[in-house]
Amino acid sequence: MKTDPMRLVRGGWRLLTEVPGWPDAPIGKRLQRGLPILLPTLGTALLLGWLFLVHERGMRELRDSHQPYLALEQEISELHQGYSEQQVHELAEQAEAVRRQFPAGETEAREFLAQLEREAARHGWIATLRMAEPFSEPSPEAWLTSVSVRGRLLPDDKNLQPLSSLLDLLERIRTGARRIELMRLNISADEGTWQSVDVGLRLSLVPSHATTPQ
Amino acid sequence: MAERVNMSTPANLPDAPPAAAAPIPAPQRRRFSLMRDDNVLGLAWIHGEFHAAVYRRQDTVDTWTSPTSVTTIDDLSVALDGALQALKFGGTDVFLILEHERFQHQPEQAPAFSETATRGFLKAHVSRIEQERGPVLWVSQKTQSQRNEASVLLHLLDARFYAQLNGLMLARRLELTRIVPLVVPLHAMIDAMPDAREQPVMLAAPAGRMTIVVAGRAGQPLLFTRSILAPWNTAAERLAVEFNRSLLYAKQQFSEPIERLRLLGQADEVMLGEVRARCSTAQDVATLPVSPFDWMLTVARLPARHRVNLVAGYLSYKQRQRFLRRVLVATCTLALVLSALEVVLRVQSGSQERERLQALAEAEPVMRAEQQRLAERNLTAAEHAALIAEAEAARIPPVPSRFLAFLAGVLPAEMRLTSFSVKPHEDHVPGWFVRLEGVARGEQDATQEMLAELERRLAQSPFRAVFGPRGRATVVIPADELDALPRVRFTLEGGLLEN
Repeated sequence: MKTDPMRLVRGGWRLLTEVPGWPDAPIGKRLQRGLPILLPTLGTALLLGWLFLVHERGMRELRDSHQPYLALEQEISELHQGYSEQQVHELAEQAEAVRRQFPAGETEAREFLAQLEREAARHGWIATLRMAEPFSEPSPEAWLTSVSVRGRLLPDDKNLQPLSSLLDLLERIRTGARRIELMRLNISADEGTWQSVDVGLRLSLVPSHATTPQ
Repeated sequence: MAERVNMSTPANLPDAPPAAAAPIPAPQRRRFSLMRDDNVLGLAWIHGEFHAAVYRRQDTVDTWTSPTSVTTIDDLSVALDGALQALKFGGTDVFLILEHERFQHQPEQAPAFSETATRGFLKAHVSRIEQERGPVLWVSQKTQSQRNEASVLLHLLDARFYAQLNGLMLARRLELTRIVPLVVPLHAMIDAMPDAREQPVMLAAPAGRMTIVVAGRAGQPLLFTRSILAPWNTAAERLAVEFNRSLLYAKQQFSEPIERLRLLGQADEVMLGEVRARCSTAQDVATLPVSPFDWMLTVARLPARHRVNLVAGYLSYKQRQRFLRRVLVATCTLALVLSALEVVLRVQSGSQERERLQALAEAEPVMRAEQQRLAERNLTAAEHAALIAEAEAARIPPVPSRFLAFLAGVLPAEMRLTSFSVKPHEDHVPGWFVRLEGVARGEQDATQEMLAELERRLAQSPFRAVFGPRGRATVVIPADELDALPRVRFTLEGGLLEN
């Protein structure tokens, strides 16, 4: 069906401005009749035009000119969301506690091994612990490096319970303030007599370049 | 029973060609008001008589009757101005009860097997009439039929005459929303009679120099209608004869003996006597004091969508336009209010945003310092988290010592270990290598069973130990003493899946 645009326009004009009982009313009267529609329409157009063409454009320009500050604010917000103050505090405490588990430098490591030997002696074992060379050269960024420790434990004469004392000793080593990992355990015994216990340990230590607390 | 009608009405009446070749007297000025007046002006122009009344919500406000005879359009123009002046009508809607020589009513028979067929037939019939007489506005009104055909009453109004009428109205800012024949209020009066449902009734109404007769039952289409060219009261004898012929016609054509005859309007004793004398079948003849204003009131109270209306199309068009306009006004007003609200809200939020941006700009140094502090803080926290994770990853489960403790608990008393070794698999293979050597006191078979039981218990332990066949070879060492049991050396070699 063909739509005549002029007919539509005429129909719209008649709908807007037709004066009841006065089809050939002059244009002034017609416009007067159309005021209840034309005025709100004009008002709406003016308001929306001002809003989007003037006000919103101004706001956009204002936002553009303040974009660096908005970006900075956003970045700060994201940084806040990365970690809470409490998380930061707890991580620092935990990191410090972890750091304390490892000897700082070779000297402390040797002191630690000497402590272990004394601990073994208190459990009835004569211990000899020797630190090997580091597995690899620590990289400058590494804060932790590991060395292997070989040890031999011989029960002293007064040690009548070698198994339980050995297990006690190994547990004390494991749960001590400083960390050292038991990697290998060899026990040699004659029938009824313990001869020697060979242990392989891994000692992690903070290399000298990383001993400065962060 | 609903009446089914056909009609042909120009819907775009305001665009109709200007009325009349004949000049129309200039209308008197009417006050124009943009405020809508909902009063309705009712006009009855019935064969020379002209009556006008104003109705407000179907109640009569005021009436006026032309003191002179109104027969031509010019007469009507003058009478209309007189009515408007007398009634002070300020509205626009007008209905007209019309009986005029240029408004004809003719009974027709049409095929009744379908509505479409009836409508098609009537359209073709009216088309033929238009070829003979020129364009007409028409509407059909169904009447009773005794045959298998649809009986209708065609109301035909000369379109040029209508254009003159409409022009007359438009010149006075009046809108002709209804043109109905006189049979419409008469039919409505029959419908309103309480005892007309059981017994048919015939009404005779004065219509200027004519007399209109209608017959029917309440709630049903009319039986018939007649226009008799004889004025009321002055041709009593002739009218009485025609009434009797109508009664006989009803009895003959519809098998409806009509016993009640009502004379609408003023009837003198002479006329009543003539009618009673001539109409022997009508046992009940009476007058009803009904005036044209009662007919107009009846029309004013008809529903807006009453079908027998020559300009029904225009009426529906106008109602549609009025509804659309109201919707449009409401929409535009609502849009304006919402737009204003949106503007206020946006301006308020814009003002707040402007203040906030200003504050941001002023606080830039503080924000830069805060950003620096937070970046350093987060970097330190991330390093701490990495340090903790690395330390945790470097932890090795204490499998050797725990396995030794577990083994000591499950090792049978007859067995003693001479060598115990646990170490990680080489080449980063997960799990642990384990090797056990020992001596068991007992027979070889018993030792095998003990070893099998030991293997089973170790396999079911959390260490999930798996020992291979290799290295399980045993060496039996005979007993040193006569009663003692032999000793059996054993070796178990395998792996621990716990890591």
